[in-house]
Amino acid sequence: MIDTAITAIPVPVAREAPAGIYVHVPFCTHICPYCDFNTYSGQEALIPAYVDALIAEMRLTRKRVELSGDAPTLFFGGGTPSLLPADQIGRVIGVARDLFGLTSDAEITIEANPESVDGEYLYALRANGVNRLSLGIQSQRRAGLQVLGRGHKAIEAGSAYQAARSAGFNNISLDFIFGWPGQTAEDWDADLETILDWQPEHVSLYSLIVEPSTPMASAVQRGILTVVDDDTVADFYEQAAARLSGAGWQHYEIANWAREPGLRSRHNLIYWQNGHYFGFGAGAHSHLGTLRGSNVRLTGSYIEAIQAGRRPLAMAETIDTATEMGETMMLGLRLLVDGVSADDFERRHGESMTTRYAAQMERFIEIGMLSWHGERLRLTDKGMLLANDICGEFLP
Amino acid sequence: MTEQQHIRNFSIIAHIDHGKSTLADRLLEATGTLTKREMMEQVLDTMDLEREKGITIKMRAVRMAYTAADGQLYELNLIDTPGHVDFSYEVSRSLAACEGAILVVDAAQGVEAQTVANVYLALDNDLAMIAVINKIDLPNAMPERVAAEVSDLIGLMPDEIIPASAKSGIGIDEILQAVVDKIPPPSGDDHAPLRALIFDSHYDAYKGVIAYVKVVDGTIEPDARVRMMGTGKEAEILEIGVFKPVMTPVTSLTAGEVGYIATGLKVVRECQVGDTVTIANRPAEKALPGYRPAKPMVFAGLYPVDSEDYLLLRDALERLQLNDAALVYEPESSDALGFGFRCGFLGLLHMEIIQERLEREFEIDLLATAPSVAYEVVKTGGDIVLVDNPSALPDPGEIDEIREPWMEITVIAPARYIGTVIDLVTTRRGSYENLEYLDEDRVMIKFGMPLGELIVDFYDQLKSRTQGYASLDYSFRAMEASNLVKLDVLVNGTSVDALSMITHRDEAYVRGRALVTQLRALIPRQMFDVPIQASIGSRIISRETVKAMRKNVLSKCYGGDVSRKRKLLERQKEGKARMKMVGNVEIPQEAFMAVLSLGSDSVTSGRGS
Repeated sequence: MIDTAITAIPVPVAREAPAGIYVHVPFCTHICPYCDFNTYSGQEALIPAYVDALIAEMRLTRKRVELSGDAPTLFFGGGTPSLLPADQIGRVIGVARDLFGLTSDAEITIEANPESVDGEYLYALRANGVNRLSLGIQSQRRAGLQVLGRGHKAIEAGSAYQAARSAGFNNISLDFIFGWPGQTAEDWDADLETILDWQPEHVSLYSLIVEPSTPMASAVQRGILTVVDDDTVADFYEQAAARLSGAGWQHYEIANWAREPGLRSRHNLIYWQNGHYFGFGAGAHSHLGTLRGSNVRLTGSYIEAIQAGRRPLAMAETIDTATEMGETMMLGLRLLVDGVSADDFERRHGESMTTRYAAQMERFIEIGMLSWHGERLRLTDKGMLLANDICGEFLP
Repeated sequence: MTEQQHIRNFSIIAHIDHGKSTLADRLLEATGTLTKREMMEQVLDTMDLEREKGITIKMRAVRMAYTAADGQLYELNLIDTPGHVDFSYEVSRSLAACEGAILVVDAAQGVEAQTVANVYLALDNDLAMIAVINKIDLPNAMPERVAAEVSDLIGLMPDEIIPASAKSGIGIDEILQAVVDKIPPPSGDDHAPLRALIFDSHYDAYKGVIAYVKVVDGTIEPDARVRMMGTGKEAEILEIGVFKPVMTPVTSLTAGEVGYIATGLKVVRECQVGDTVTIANRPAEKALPGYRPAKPMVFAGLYPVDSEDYLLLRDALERLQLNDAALVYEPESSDALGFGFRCGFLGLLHMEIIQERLEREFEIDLLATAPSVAYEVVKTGGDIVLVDNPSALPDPGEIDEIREPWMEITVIAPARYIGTVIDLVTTRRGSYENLEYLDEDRVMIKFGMPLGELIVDFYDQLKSRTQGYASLDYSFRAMEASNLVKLDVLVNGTSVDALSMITHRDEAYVRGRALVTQLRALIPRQMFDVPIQASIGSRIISRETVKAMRKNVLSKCYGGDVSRKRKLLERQKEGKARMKMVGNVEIPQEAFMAVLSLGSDSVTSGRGS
């Protein structure tokens, strides 16, 4: 692993650190069978009204909040944000800059599917201010794309990546999924080889989670698909970690690798640092002060609420101090290099981490799941695969 | 009061299901004690559980009036007896209150182990015997053959044996007349100091303990102060009376009569079966023979599944003990199971009944440890300690000798099963002693066997290997030294107290292996390898490993939906909170339940004959 001194960021961040911005785009041309995100197909006609609503929501929100600084990140997630025309993306970025004062080096990311982008579009995104692209490759194996029900072919993914490079994107992240039904170690090795070959700046490797009430879950239930067992998935994970570290990549978060420390996802880092963010759009989540909230999920209801001048809030919970500290641990421990800093913890929460969690630390350090790295507490290699069992113990 | 020559006191003795209760019903009907309409089926068995298990747990006594062939009116007292070997002491006390007994034998089944045991008890008490072959109208009845068995057993001529069918009312008059003719009247001394034998008791919320007595000598009047000669406890009489069969107050009970005394005492333990009641200010010199306090033979830990039910369980045991002198309990705690009670029972059936009553009447979910017996441990210094809980066994270094209870076992079975039965007995450390042919193809086999072996699945095995034909009886013989060891189960190096057992050295390996294998399948994977071992002292005799769980991680980002992530982890954590921690290992309580019930399924259903 790369020395902490080079990369150390505050974990958790200070309470007054400026908030990032998340914009949700709940449109897809088709829904992949494993997906349980908030997204809908066949509603593309709503896109213009939806973008208007997004902008209106940003204005509404801006009236209610004080800013502690310019927003360091803007992230278009989905769904398939690349279904929005580039100029609409540009409009949202412009309004965000006006209202929330994006920093000059702000990270502006858009998620895209290979089949929804071409050179012209990508060029237009760049021109409208997007400086980071997150491509949903998922697999370059035909069997993988098929079982995951993706809408693109392997060759299209390659062209999309090439086109993005040609359009000037120098910060590209690729998403891959492992543990899909039928996947072999050879399949996975080939995908890892693709990553090393293409040399993106960043990758997210997600193990497939068969979420309840998805078409995939019902296929598993009916015996049509067989999930890869946890031990094999653990093997795949270790295989990935070994290959990428061997090539000098930094495994900075449980599911995320950066080719160099400076190429980590700044927006997602905010989540793991228990930082604050605005969430705009249908079903978007926000974390501001002691409030976690989320918007109504249905696109139509969201647009309606905004048009009626109402806040589209579906849920809001106040995070009490104990939960906030637990979340700091739960999230921060996922940062494998930075871990949770005892000093930052005390600065943020006014309480000593080592006192508060003495019992958990003793137990998990003894069995080799956690270790100290200076004043930072980190998951060990053994611990990272069992992060749920460890992180859960810090919750009140 | 009735003159003694017009009183007959008798019991009905029978093997389970041979028709004792039905016969009692017919006698009540025929004497007009109860009309058919008043009678629930089988009036004498009043507890639901008794009816369901087809056995009689608590005895009842009933007075009947009968006009015999000589035109005279007789008072017949029928004293019911429990039908299970766990309660043989109570049976012997009921019989001691009688002058005669009706032996009922099923015309299809013939003489069985319990029949023999009861006959011996009756003969020990010098009772006059009336033999009845019941169910003669069954298609598979063999009355002549069974009559021959019975006449061999008790020395009656076959023509003295009454053929009957209690179900169809055949032979009932003959039986009543035989009671008057063949059973001698009691012959107590009305004017001697009072001696009344307690043959049963129950607790009544208003009148305290009701002692069921047979007045042997003297007279009881309602205003006396009585003393229990065995326990020394004294009480003011609140009421005396007879069973008709409902409790009916009377102004005196004289020698030979059967009735009850309401004592106002708070627990039946103070007024135990077998004790002698006398008048405090004019006591008898000598108590009636045969009193012995109830002594538990089988022990087990009872734990509430939900620890919140602990106080409920304590209250329930207290309530049951009011009515059950044989039930003992004391608080116990286990690392694995939390807080509960170590309970002592007369036998497995008694244990099962208590367990079921706790679950049914008090609605407490219970976890029972494997039943064990009480061992006598002779320590190196010469002290003898009684150990009824395996985890309380002293260190091996301090033990000179361990003694365990040995039982005298009687099995009656068709001759073709001789080999099967002897095989089973010898694999259970039993020693064959004697074999006797009851007729050309039924044998009675006697042997000795440790009680510890008897309570582990023996009865079920016996029944299944003999296609249900064998019957079993047993009684305590002596404490004998054996090569016994304590078998511990260690999870991740920590001993799980609830699973410790005392076993013969030769069987320790097999039992240890079985426990370890079961547990390996039941303990969920942890964050580290968990060794599961069986050990004798410091020597590991068996080992398995639950391999470490390798993966439990949410890799998705969920677009900042931290609440969802937190809730997922909270749910996992809640699941863990229901587990018991044993040496850093989270074990679901279901794992203990599964192991304990695997080990005891067959045990707790092991009903004696």
